[in-house]
Amino acid sequence: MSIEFKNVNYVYSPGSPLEKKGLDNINFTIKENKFITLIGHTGSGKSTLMQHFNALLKPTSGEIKIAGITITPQTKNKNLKELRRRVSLVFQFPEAQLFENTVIDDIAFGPKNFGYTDEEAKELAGKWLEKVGLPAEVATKSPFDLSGGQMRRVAIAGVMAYQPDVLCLDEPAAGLDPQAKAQMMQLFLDYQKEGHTVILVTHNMDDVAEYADDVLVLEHGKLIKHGSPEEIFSNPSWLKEHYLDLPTATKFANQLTNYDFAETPLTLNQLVQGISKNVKE
Amino acid sequence: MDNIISFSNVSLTYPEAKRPAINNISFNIKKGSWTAIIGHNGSGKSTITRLINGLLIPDKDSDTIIEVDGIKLSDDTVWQVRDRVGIVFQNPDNQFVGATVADDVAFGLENRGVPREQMLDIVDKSIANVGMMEYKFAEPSNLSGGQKQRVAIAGILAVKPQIIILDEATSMLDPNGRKSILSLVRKMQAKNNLTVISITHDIDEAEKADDIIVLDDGVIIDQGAPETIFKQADLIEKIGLEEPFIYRLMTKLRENGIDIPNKIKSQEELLEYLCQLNLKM
Repeated sequence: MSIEFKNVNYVYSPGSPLEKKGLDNINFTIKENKFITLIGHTGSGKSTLMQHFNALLKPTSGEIKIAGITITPQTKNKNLKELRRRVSLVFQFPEAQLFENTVIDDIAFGPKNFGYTDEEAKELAGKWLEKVGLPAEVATKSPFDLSGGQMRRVAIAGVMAYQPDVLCLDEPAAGLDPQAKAQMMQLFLDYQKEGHTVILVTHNMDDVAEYADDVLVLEHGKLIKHGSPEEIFSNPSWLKEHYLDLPTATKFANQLTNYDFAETPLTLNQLVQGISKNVKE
Repeated sequence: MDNIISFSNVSLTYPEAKRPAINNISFNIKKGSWTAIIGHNGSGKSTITRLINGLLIPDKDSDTIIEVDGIKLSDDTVWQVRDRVGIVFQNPDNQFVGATVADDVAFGLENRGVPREQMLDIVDKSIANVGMMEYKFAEPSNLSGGQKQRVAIAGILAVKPQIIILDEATSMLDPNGRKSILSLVRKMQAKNNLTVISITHDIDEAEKADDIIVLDDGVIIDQGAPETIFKQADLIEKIGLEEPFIYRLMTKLRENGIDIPNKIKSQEELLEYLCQLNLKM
């Protein structure tokens, strides 16, 4: 199965003086169970596109197929529960959505909402509390007594606990320290490898190089490129034209002028291998 | 240079917490300087910033003193202190009040009784400075995360505080956007002798500070110039930060049997060395 966008347009506040085009004729097909990244500048339409994945926003025109469900402008809110269980969104600063009295209840809320019994939900919550790297003793604490980074983990655990087929995350690591961030990214990668689709909105080209199978590039609400990281980063002048950065390793490699890389290194490991090959030949 | 902020023996224990979040810390910050506070999530960074302007009250102790611009922080002086300190929080949604971007930026000025003529001028300039003129009449809630952060910074810079605290305030901006906002703050720093305190996990940003305070579990474990802090690889790892890219690259190259002299400290030196190495072979 795949995720398909066909001629999708979205207009904010249509017919009012504030009318603004959010998405402009988006077309793409991506395979499921892959790690997808969505890149583009502040205001390019990344978050707007993301909200279409589970019909929080419905297209003004066009059609979306995701997790076996079709979304059109006529789609009614009434039948969306199944879609929302299969496709879930983690917004920027998800910790703002915590509300329960204890951490464990907060994580269990999602599974309960989607039909798990209290007992199953508690069990899932306990499992995901551990998976996101939180100590067992915070389970009974109020989520509001935790630090910002810990609250973020609770919020993410709450979404992953009901194991959606498609997990969309908007800058989930913003403001986390690098170790916490690396753990979090590993968690998402493991989740994808277990047979789920992960869609990550990010500004970090190193993450794109490290994790993505497929990259969607947005600009002013238009999809301006769709391809593998290798394809996206193979054209530095195109990237420059669109004010997009190269991964750190690629920038470094491009400055090693007397080196010959068979494939442009995108990650630190590829760069190390490329350098070794050159100097040892 | 005079100290604009001085903490002596300050502790803070959150209600029902077993351990203090900030444990008997003392430090000084010089007027007009740029100080980076670094440490892993939950180390007490944000707690310190909230103590500076009296959003949090320290544990009672006769030795405890917090002084801001020569004013001893107390119930009677808290408003004088807050007048001098502008905080840009990590999540800009926590500080929007206006119905439009322009209203929001005007709020702080209105509060301080700035005459309307002058105010309109300052509002326009502040919004233009952060590159948001196109969105002057937009509703803040409709902006993207990075755009919101720009507006939040404009609102604080408009009132010309003596001290600005950036609490991971650029975490949602793309790399170019972040560079331009930080250089704007730098300009204001030079022009108005602004004191900047930035809480960040971005090692490249911290490297450009005048002074760095390193926090670990509520205690200051080091304070000094970036050169002295960042040469301690074990310290950087302990607090959960990531070493700069070239240090990670050199470690990996050495692991792969490529000899890199210890004297190499910068990207330029490393590039030059590697290019020469490839010539000899």
